[in-house]
Amino acid sequence: MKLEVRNCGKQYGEQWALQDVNFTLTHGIYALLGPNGSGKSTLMNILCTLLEKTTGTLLWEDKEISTCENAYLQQLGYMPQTPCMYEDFTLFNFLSYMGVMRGMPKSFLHQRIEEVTKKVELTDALDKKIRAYSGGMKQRAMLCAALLHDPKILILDEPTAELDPLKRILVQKLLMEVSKDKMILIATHVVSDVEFIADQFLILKKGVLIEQGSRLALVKLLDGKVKEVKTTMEEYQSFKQQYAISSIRYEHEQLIARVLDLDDTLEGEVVTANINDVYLHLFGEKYAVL
Amino acid sequence: MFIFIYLVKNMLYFELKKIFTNRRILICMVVLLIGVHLFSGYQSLQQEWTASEYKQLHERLDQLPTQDRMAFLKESFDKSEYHLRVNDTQADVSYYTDTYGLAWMEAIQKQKNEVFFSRQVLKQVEKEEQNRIGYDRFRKGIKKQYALNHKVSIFQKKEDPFVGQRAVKTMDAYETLNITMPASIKGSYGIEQLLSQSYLDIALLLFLVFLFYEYVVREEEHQQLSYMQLTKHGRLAYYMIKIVALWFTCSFFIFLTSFTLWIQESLLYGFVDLSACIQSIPFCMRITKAYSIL
Ligand SMILES: Nc1ncnc2c1ncn2[C@@H]1O[C@H](COP(=O)(O)OP(=O)(O)OP(=O)(O)O)[C@@H](O)[C@H]1O
Ligand SMILES: [Mg+2]
Repeated sequence: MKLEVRNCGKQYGEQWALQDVNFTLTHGIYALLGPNGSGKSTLMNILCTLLEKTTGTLLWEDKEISTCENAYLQQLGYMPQTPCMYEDFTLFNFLSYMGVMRGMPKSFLHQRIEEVTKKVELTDALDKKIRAYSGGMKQRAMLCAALLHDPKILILDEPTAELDPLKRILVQKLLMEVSKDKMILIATHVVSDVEFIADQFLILKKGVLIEQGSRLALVKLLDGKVKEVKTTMEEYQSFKQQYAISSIRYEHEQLIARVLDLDDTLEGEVVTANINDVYLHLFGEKYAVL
Repeated sequence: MFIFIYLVKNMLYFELKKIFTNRRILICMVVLLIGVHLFSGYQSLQQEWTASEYKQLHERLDQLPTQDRMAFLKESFDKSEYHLRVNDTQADVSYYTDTYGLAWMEAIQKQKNEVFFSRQVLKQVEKEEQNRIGYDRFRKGIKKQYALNHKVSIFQKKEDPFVGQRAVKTMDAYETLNITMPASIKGSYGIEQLLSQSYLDIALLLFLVFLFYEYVVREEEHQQLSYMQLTKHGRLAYYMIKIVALWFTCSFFIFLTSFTLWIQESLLYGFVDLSACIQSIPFCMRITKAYSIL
């Protein structure tokens, strides 16, 4: 299982939404990170063949995708950023419809509907109209539709954006469970959702893939540079101008700031960095070194 | 092949479900239906005669033997004509004196309060009656035309094959057409109205535009079309099925409006036997097939 993206670019009018992107996916979970407008959805749409790329090639099992499009799409489960279900259908209707459109045999379809809705805890809502669903329910329903035919490739565009903490954990576990024999690409800006489940991180900034690697590799960028500094409110006001601060909290009436100290000038307890710190490091405007 | 039918059936089921569970489409359908009915009701109010008058006249006619009906209509026409002139001393009444006599005129003068059929409704009914009895004559006319064509071609020695063939065809068509005109065509006006209404077409057009917007354009806007493209049957088959579903829904709409309008018109002008031959409606007289109205 191998999906290769070579020199991929996408131009909207004058503006490049995606520029010279290169990476290779095999099995496992890949997290695609980047702020709003960085080109995540654009990249995913290109991978799903919904969008024509301006430059570059896409290879599935070393073959140009346009030459094996049907076989490729059979293997693909896509979840778009905005739900696009039929509001007047019940979830059962919608999933049956998707099954019919995908040419799944009836008995297998019913079995799968039962399985996937159970996994995302929507079994009770199967006969409810989608119009009456909450945002989080709709998102889980779209996830069901993507998982329905048990595809090898899963492309999920912000699957957890509207979920409550328990459902986030549920979806994380679900993705971990199914990831063994699948290739899963998740776009998100909720870093904590993918921090521990993703094997690889792809980080997009203004359409350019600026970092790519495992969690440990990324965290290494900030080795020894994240410090927890004991401070006061007045002091904090002044040095928040100079340093990137990833969080502040009170502990025993003492203000503690988590600071990215790139030049090693501050006194404080060195802590291990996390992906959030890396994200701040890469995108916190003033301090971004890249 | 079996799989194909199974697939089409299933896909069509969901497409129709989409349309018939869509509240906006259903509302549009109901609104148009009500609109068509109001409009047709308004139109019958615009007429110079009322539906009850029409119905009454047909009831009177049905009591008479067929050969007396035309005479009755003629007399009724004259009656109402004369009634208008009763108080006009200047008017020339010699026609009435000659045809009906003074007693007839006096009777009308006395019946101040009786309702006379208006001339318009009499004309309409006369047209229907003419058609009923005139159909045989019409057929004979065709035969004559055929004979004439034949003759001409013989004299000219130069046969235009098309004219000849067409005449033969027409003749055959009418010859083999074995229809019996119903003895009474009470209320065919309702059907005539129904079939000649252009507002039905306008309603259908509006419905089609709205349906297309709701069912195709909106799906495109909500990225449902592109989402479906990723599925196995999401391309050509999908579009074909969508066209079939559109066609089906429009047919359903036509049926619905026609049927309810038929009921409305029938309540106004009297029920027509829908299994009667279609030629009993005046403007469908030339049809050469033995269709029933339905
Ligand atoms: N149809 C379009 N026409 C023109 N520009 C577009 C179009 N779609 C996206 N863009 C531009 O391409 C860039 C990338 O958009 P994209 O939707 O891929 O971002 P994203 O990373 O998914 O953002 P978000 O986190 O908000 O979903 C943006 O600058 C956007 O303005
Ligand atoms: Mg996006």
